[in-house]
Amino acid sequence: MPGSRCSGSVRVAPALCLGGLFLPVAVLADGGAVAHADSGHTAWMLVATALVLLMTLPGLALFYGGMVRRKNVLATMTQTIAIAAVVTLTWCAVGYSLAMRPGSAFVGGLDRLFLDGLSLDSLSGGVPESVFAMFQLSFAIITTALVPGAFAERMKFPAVLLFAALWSVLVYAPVAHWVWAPDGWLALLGALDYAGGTVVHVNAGVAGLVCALYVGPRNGFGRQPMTPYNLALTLTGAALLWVGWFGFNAGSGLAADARAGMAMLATQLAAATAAVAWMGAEWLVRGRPSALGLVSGAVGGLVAVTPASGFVTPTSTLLIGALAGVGCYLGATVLKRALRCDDALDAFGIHGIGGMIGALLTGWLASPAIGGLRGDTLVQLAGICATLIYSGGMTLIVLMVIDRLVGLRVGERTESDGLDLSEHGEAIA
Amino acid sequence: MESDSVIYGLLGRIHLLMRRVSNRITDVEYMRVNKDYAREVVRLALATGNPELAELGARLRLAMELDAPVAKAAPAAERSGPGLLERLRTARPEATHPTQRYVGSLR
Repeated sequence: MPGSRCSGSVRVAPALCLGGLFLPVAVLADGGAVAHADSGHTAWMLVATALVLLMTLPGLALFYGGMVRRKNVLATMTQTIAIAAVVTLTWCAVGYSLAMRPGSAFVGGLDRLFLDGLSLDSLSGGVPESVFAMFQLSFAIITTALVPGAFAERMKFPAVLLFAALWSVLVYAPVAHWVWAPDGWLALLGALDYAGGTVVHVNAGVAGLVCALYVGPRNGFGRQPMTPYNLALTLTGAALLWVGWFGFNAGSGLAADARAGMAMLATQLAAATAAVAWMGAEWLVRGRPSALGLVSGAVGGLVAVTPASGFVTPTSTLLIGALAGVGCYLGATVLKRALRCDDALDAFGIHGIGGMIGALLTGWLASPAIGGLRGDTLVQLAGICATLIYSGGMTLIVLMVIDRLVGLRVGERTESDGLDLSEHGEAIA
Repeated sequence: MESDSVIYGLLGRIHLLMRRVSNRITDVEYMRVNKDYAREVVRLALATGNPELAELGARLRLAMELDAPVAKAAPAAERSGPGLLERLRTARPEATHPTQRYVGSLR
């Protein structure tokens, strides 16, 4: 366990290693000497952080930008990049402290407001706290940036910015604390979430579903074809997501060690298996495999293996990938039609469903030989339900507040003209 | 049922007239393979009130046997319902058709 690196004679916070994450710990090592960050772990975490940020900038921007109609491409990509900027500020101001610092079982303390107190000597496990805070920031960014996939092509830009600011603080930070902080109630209950199946994907997926239902469908949804602008952009974005996910999962142990290697292997196996599974299901049902289906399957597999990657064997990973590939395919097609909801880019169908599949399977398949822990499917289910209720409810409140403040939805004419021109005064050639 | 050449002749004329009379674009190939779509186009053609479209619609009904009764119910032994795969396939038969591919769903 990487927890062995947490030893020290003076600790400013508990050093419980759970889900592969640490709270800031020892400043002084045995004998009173100042403890230093492990250079190997730190180097890997710097790379992993850049990889996770690459998933959003430009991975997710390209992934989403390619799937919307030509008139909304710039607006969609702009939303992703703007969210990255806004969440960086909210994370610095209050998000990091609420999510990762010791506090109550439900939310962290306020001792790191505006990152006050974070110095060169602050450590988190074996790495500088600055690296830890930046790594966690990249998670907050991509989680928030996933949600607009559900309400793409119809929300006002100021509303998107407000949503990102409020949601990242009021929804993401508390849920991250529940699961990843040692004093979080789900962590104490024994919920396993190595890299964010519940915190990131179930959370963003259900928030997306609530947004899509509250904002309402796009004009012409279900009657007119909404042809994607350029799926080559989407494929490129998906490839960046796939590669960036190695930082997401293999970095979540905050260490460059064998478990990180196992998490990386699990990530690749699940992505590949799910891509093949989605492709097979689509081929069987529709008679041909689509490019979008292939990469959607890969993303579904990556989502599902996220909570499991540091806990399961490679063989289990194949099962997770296969079930996620078929499950996400059904989520983005059959379930979507059943819900009659314009989740435009399938944020819930892929991230919500994939996250739930992964979280449940982690409880069943977690191997003590890999992560040192056994899972409990009922506890995992409790984690999913709590996230569904809290994230769904708080997202609804956030939407209602924004609706009162600036309004959520663009006018019919604006929607018809496209957000690129009407919201940003620009257009692609 | 009439031969393909006769049917395509009717479909082509309906396509042209629909565009001219009501500015509506129809899909000739899809009409040929999907009787539900063809019936809907004939209904729209009649709704225009154009006499030539009405006549062509009536001829197409005969040529493609659009008014033929729905197939009889399956025998009791086969009445347990279609399998999952069949239900998935029929849930959205137009999912791979160029003009219908992105209606209501990206994937």
